Amino acid sequence: MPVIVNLDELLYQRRMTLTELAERVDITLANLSILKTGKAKAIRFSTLEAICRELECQPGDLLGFDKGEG
Amino acid sequence: MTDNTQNRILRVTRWLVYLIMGLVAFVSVVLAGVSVILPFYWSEAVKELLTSHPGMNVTELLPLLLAVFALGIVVLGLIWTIMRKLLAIIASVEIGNPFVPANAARLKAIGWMMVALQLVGIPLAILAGKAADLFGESDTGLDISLNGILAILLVFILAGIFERGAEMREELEGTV
Repeated sequence: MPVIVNLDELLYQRRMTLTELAERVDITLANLSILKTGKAKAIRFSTLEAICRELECQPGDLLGFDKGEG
Repeated sequence: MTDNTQNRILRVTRWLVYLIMGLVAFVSVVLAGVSVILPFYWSEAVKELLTSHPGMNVTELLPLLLAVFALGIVVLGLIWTIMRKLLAIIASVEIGNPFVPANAARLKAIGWMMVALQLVGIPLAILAGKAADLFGESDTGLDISLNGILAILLVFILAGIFERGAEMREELEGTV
């Protein structure tokens, strides 16, 4: 999928687990897993905002675009 | 509409469907039983009929009655199948996932079965009328139910709505 989600790296940098992140934001662990494994088809702005707030990052840190694919 | 009211309505609907299915089952068993037994006791039945309705044309009566009973069982079978599909739709609403392609298919099937009910109703009414004539009562008539046609239209429209709803739900899947 051309849009890359860098959730793993960001969690590692903040020394946070996916479960901890799920507890802090109003997103289910299942949905965060879907996001992390690149299976998400769409992301709400509210979700993006919550993750960026907790991980203290920019959307551009969380998401990337790989021109090579597709 | 609050969740509780919605759930209550759903539960009442479910029990109404069970009630109708119970009635259908009961009437079907009775009809089937009578259809099978009647030909064997026909001569006794004829004697009774001729005493209460002298001069009745009893040779025509048996095949007419059996035909009416057979069509009646077809009608009951259609109603039974419609009720079963309704139960499946209600179940999908109860688990919170009604907008699936299966429900659109069920609604379409219900629509076509309702059309069949209207169509079967025509010969049924005609034959029942002929049987009633033999008894000297001609109060059975044939009326095309406008309510029935309206209901059929609504069901097909609903099927289309559910198809679109299922598509929209599918699009939403995978949104985090």
